[in-house]
Amino acid sequence: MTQLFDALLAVGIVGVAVAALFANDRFAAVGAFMVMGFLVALSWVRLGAPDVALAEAAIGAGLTGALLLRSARRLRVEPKMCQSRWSVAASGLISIGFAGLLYAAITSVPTVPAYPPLVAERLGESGVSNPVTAVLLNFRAWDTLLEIAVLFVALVLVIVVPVSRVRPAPLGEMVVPFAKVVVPLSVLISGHLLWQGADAPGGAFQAGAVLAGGGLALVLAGAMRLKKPLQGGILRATALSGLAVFGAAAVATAALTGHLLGYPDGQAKIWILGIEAVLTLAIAATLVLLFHGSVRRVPK
Amino acid sequence: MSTVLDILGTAMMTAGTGFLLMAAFAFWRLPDLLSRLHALTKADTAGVALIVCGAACMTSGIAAVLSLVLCGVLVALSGATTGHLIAQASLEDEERA
Amino acid sequence: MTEAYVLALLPFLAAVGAAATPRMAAIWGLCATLINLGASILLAARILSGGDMRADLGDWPAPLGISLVADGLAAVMLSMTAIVATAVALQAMSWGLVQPRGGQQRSRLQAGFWPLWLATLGALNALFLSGDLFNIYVTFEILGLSAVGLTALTGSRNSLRAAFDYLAAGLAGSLVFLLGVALAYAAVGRVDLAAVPALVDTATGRLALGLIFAGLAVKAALFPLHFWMPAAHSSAAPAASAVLSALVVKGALYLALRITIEAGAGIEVLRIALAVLGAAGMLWGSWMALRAERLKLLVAYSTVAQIGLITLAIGVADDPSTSAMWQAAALLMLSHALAKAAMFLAVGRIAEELGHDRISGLNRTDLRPGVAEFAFAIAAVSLIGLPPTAGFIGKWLLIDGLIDRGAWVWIALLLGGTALSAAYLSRVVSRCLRGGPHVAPGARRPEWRTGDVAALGLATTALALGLGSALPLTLLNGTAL
Repeated sequence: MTQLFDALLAVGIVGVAVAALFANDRFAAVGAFMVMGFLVALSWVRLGAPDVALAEAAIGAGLTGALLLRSARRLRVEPKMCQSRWSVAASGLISIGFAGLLYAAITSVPTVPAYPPLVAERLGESGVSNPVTAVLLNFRAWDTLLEIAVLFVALVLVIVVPVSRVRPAPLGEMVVPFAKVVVPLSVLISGHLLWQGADAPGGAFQAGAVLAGGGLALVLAGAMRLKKPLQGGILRATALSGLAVFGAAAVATAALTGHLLGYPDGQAKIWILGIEAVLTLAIAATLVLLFHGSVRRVPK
Repeated sequence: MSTVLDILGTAMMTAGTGFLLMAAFAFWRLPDLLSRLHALTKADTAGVALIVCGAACMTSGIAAVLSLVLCGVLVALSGATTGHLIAQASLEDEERA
Repeated sequence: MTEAYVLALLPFLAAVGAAATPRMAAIWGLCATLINLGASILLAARILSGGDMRADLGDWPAPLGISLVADGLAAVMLSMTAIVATAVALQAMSWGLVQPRGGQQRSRLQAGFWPLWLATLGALNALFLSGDLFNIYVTFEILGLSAVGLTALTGSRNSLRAAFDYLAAGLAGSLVFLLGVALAYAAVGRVDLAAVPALVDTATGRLALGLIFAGLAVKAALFPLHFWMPAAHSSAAPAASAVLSALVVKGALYLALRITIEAGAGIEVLRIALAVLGAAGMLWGSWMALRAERLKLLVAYSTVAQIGLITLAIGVADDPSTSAMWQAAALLMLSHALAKAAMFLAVGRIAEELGHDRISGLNRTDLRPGVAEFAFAIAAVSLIGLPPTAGFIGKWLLIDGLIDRGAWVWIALLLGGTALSAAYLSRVVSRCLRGGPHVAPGARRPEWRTGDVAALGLATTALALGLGSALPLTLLNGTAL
């Protein structure tokens, strides 16, 4: 039964991806893309990676979909698809061949997970009991710091690259009651995910994405006006604080213990939760700003 | 007791799935945006609500039930709001055209 | 390892500072660049005296955590980056960004350039220090995004289009690279660089290596995957072009060199493929540079050719445990970085003064930006590989090794590529010297700008490096294999 489900899921993912590629209507393509995001999230659940599933559903399907819809609305002219049948067939054949090659490569190696035992061995020293959080914020925290830098660069790009912009207009009165329910809930759920991340699926990225959803509801309800210098400035400072605080924490740990991102003995959990709390706010602010577009006033 | 709840839950979830299938069918067969929207929002909300109730019957523990109810409320709320927004946007587009 | 920590973290913190306080962005940038230069020199000195260094981040040993590795090769790359960074910062101080459209545009360029450039610098430093393939993938993500931003910064239609192509190509390259890393994990169960030798033994591992190199080929703009590069490099602002052409592509080339060193013998097919593609890129890039009508495009195509040369050097280098030919590739990367950055900065100055960058129009007016032309000429000498420049030493090491092996085909290709590079670069240099109002006694000379100082300084460094090439070679010799 589960195998049937998995097979349907796999076929569904590929099918929706094809639908997204060949949809005539731009919105239909984005819709198919979002459905694909949710199916991929489901497949992560089936693969036993609920952390990734949460992030994929919130960011991959939800927020990316929102960004794409917003951009699709901005593009007035429908781009013409001019692919010949032959090029489609050729790329299809190449994709199938490549997939076959990858399948053969994957099945030819023993599928014994090598990294999880290493993590399990040292999990007790990491300060948290969720192995994913232990890897992301302790064993390989340097990766995570650099990923926050990727988000930072994306934010800078949106702020400085000089393209004409669309500002999302408030959507009207009907969104206000929606926001009244969703915003407090998103704060609650995000706090829950953040706290839960220490010993169960969750953490800064998922919590930040959920909080950003609440932020988008505020923006669309017209309650958060980022054009106002104070609100825009606070949000921008929050977004930048992620990399700043993580970097400062790295410096502090190097000064305290001599190891970059090596937390002092017995305090790992406090450090991890502190960093994650700031990251949650920063990720949420960054995502809202990515959606909203630039709010910077050009310095005179 | 548990068998009764199980049967009740299965029945509700089956009914809910039926509603969702109906919604999908309507989305496929109905001719224009507004009628699709009309069918979709109602059938969708009812289907999800039934599935939530069914799942709630089959779980134990108040926390699980509460999060299920939360899911149902959020889906209902966002379904209603987005339905309204989509209809409004299509009306505006028609006026402009 | 304090220096390494400074190199890896400081640029990012300064980038945040520059983004938070746009008016002070240049100050953040200059301070960070100078400290970065100092730290890289200190690191190189410490490696010279004390040998390689290694630090497990968070005190977690390698397969579990991430290690920073500072050896001779990394030190050479870090110093190269720091020197070019200093010159670029100098140039950016003067705001030689073309087509200023009023003060607002300018300050937005300035506000955008510094955080993006500092993030690029941080990503490069982290890349050169990293001992972990997945970590390197993340640095490539930063590098790719910030490079796209640097390309798009001028906001012209061309640069936006080039930036979009760059983004698409870079994402595809990243994806293939990541797939390779995932397969490598599946094959050997670890993703630090120590996994590379084990990859050679299994079919899955070799497929993983192939994917990794395919991703790197896109990122390094190796022929025939260079399609995105000339437009991107030629439409960006001069300081940005210098960064993109001299440093950003070196990230991928460095990793290719590092992996071939780690893999040792047993990757003959891959090496031959690299050498063939490199030779093809060298000839194709040279041919396109010969036909280019605009100066920036010529320099951009020359980068295609030079990347081909470096890849050829990586490809023909033997097993590093028996031969030191890989050092030629490292030295060529170093000399290309310095010379190409000098060249882009010089071209930026020439275009700024003349108001255009058509090669045919270089000697038509009585205006002579002599300092920039001089810097261009010295950089050209180094790129062609004439003595006493660093480019000469690199090519000499390469040809010397090839003669020992009797690989005459490769030598002929190398000499052909060298002759072509001399041909296309002399198109520019000869026009700067030819008669006309340009070199008449009454020709006007623009005043010195910091951009001139930066270009001339870099070109002179490239020249001096040939005389002092013992220093980088000693560093490289100490690299543990």
